[in-house]
Amino acid sequence: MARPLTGTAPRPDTGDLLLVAAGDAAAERRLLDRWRRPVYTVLERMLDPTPAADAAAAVFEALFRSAARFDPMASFPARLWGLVAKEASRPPAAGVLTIPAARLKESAAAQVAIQRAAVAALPPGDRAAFLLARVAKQPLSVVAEALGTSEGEVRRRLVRAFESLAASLQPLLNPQEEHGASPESEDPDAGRDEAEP
Amino acid sequence: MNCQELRERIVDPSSATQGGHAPVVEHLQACGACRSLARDFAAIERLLRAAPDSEPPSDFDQRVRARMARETATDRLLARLVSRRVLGAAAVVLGLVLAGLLIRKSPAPAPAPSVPVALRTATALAPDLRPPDILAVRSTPIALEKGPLGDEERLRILALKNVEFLSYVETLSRLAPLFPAEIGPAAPGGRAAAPALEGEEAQADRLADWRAASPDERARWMTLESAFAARPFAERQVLEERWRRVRGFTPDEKAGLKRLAARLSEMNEKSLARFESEVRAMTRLGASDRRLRWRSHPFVRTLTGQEIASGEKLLLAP
Repeated sequence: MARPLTGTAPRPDTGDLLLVAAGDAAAERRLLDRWRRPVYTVLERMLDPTPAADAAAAVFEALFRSAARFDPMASFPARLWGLVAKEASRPPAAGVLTIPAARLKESAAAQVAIQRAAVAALPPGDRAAFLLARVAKQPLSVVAEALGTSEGEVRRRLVRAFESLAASLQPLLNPQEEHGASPESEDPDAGRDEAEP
Repeated sequence: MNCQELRERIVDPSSATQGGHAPVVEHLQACGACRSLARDFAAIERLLRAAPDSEPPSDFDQRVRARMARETATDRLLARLVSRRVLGAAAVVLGLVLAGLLIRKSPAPAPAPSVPVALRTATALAPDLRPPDILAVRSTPIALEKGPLGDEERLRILALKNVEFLSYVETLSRLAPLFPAEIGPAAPGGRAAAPALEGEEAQADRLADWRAASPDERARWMTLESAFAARPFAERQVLEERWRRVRGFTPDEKAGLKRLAARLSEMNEKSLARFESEVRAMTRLGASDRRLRWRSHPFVRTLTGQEIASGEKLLLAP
């Protein structure tokens, strides 16, 4: 997405962030156009849509407000995803999600809800590493820089996150064990529209 | 290769080419736990891939701008407070401190004969000195209390709608499915009851709200008022009628309704119409059945507790 240009010209995102610091509203819009969807998608995997939109808006607010302090030689993705990680590390609203097993099988909305709850229940560091590496699909080097840690530590966090998710998402991962349905019949997209009334 | 090393290899696709696959395959053949976990990891990846990117709400950019503007307004308010009230109050405190120091130093008669004449004259005069004029210090501009409102301004403010109602208009509009049909979108124009006249208490509240509002808040109030006035008459009547139903709700319940309205706004037109007809069908049931049907509705089950409780209260309201 942020393709390097030739010579010393800054990457588009870095250049736009510098323009934002100079008060350029068009640069602000361009950054929003490029990044609002990926940022929102990541946060929406752990929060309900409305809080996710608020958290994503907080990311852009922080990005724009700190634009004047952004080092043009620094990595824009690391900066952006670092802010996303900060939002993703906040404790989500407390609550226990209970979904009847039969309902889980037939409702796409329930499946989304249980995935969201499972991600939200991860420890903050593991959650941020998982979201950045697996949902935002960032290379481990960027994730490590965004989280201010080493790639080895990111790998360890990812393993822990996957192990926790494997435990908490068992009803989704191996539905045949509990409900007699084969995994192939479990298409998470099927009935997605039916999730809404 | 031990279990941890294997797991770190399979969560990092970029490491697949490092060291070849042989050790991975060898470990998986020997270790049942890792084999099972690898299957689960792959299933999680499939779940992630199956979920498409989510589309942020249509008003997302406005939310960002609102956040930026809100902070700016706070900064401005802070600056104004510092420049006027705080500095004014600081001047008063400083004046009082100086006055206190002068008063403590002044009444010290010195009867010692060895004191020079000039100095004795000065100390003898000290008790006759006027106390420092604190009122003069206090006369620096301190805008702690605003002046009385003129008749014209008072009438203009009383003509405004309640700011809480104006801020809630969009929510009321989106919550149409939860209101009875007679005050819903299909309400025929003019059928809604005429708004009741405001009592003196409400008018006093309105004036107090206006006085407490900062210039930015007043500007926002006027903008909301204009936007509301621009709606058709029948729609304004419907919205006011809806407000009468929810204005007694607690702040938490109102916040719950606001979030519920936001969730409804994320639905497409078809889903919203279906939801509305299903809720209309619920209203024909008794209170306990209505509550049961509401709580078991597929959409409602995705809501938070506060959103569910607020919607339920509205649905069960007489």
